[in-house]
Amino acid sequence: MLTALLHKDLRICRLPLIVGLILLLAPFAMAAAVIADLPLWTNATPSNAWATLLGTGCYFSIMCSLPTLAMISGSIIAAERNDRSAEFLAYLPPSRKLILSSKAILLITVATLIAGLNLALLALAHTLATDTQTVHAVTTNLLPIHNLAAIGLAAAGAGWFASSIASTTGPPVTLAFAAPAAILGILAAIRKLTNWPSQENFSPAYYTTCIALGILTFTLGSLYYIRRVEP
Amino acid sequence: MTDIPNAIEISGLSKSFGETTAVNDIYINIPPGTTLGLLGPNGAGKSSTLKMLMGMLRPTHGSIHVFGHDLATQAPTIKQRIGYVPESNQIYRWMTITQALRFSRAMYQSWNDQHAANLLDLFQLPSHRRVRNLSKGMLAKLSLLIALAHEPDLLILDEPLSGLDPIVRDDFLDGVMQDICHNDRTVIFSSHLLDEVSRLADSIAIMNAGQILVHSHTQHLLENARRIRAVLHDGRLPQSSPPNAIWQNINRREWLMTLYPFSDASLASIREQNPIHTLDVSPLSLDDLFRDFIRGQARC
Repeated sequence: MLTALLHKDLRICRLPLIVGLILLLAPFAMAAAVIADLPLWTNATPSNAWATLLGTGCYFSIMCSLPTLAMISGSIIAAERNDRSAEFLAYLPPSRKLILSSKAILLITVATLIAGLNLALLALAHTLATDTQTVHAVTTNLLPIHNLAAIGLAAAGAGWFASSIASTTGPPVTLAFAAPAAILGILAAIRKLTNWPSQENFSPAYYTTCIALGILTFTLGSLYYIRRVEP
Repeated sequence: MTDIPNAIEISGLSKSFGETTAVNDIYINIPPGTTLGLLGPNGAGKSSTLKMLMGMLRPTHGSIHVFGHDLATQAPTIKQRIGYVPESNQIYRWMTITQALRFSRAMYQSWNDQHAANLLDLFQLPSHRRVRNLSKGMLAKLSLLIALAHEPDLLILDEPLSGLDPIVRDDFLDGVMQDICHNDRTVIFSSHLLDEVSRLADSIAIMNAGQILVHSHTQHLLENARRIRAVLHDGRLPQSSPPNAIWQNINRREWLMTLYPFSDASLASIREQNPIHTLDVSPLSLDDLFRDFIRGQARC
């Protein structure tokens, strides 16, 4: 039963998955095109050059995959209400928990594949490079990957929560994209009003809030979907 | 002696949407192996009742037991034994018929491939065509196929014939009839097409404004209802309406009424208590009886 549900969810998310695959792989091609003209490619040893390419590609691949998670989480539940196929599913025997499990498995699998592939390539880059700095030569001044993960969690959680409530996919996907920026804006406003968090604690507070809200919205969305009787 | 539980026991069932009451405190028991025709005008509460029966709506009050199991706590188990055909089918439009059958097959433990193949053949459905490209009639047949292929103990048909042309309606009903005849299946059939209901139903429940007005064996219902046409003496009005009149109308000297349940005693009472000149008694068709129940309640 779960296999059939997973197969169906894969088909429902076909478009975000295709876009996601492009966003997952395209950064490597783009990194190659950009780095090929830089001295750090032409002057470096082959192993260091490849390490820089892989390190840069992985970073942008993870960054570009955040919209994939936002699109999938925002549409995975609401898409079936959008075309009313949720009504068909509602009178079949699978329980709400099983239906939701299939969707959660798909989302977690996609996130794991994105993270797994990129972290494996990153590990390979570290093996090839003579020093860590080489791997992060291009991305050294950008956000660390674990902070990107926190932003991704907030986006996916917001999308999941909105998708469990909404009848169309537009608003949940929009909310998923907007959530990290909205959290940033709200936190900045709080800081302006209360002087909390301090300048040096602002980033940790932001990422902690992203993680907390991500987990909370996933939990609330799941509970709402399971308790809701109407498809 | 063993007690065979009712296939369905609906007790004090109500459903409100805000201030609108769609279903109002209904009680129905349906024995296994029987076919119930649920009749009612649009908005009577038929679909809401059937959706609650499928666990697709949560009742505001009351309980539903299907084959002795409480629907509120055991819906997935119960749904394994129910086949449901909704008024409008929302099967995944991107699926082909084969994919829709494969998907549904995975959902039911008792799916019978041979039965599914026979029904596919009977309904002459193009198995490689996508659901989005099916006509309304084909979609209704596919929905019936999915509902029947797992050989359910209970079949629920929620206005499945509305909007279908007479030929498709006949094909559909033949499919249902064939299935009912060969299996000891309980069927609930909601419709406002009375001919179809009378072809299938052992018993009939008439619903209006969220309430069950009558629930009885089809034959018993028709045998115990009579249309009375009384002509009153000139210048006189009826003095006493019989309590079992479900509908009545006075036009000059002509007093028309429908009695349910009809008895000779009630006829004698009408004669005794009213200035009757002549009086005719005639049987009613299901169509007339249904109209009289609804019109009678509207006047109340």
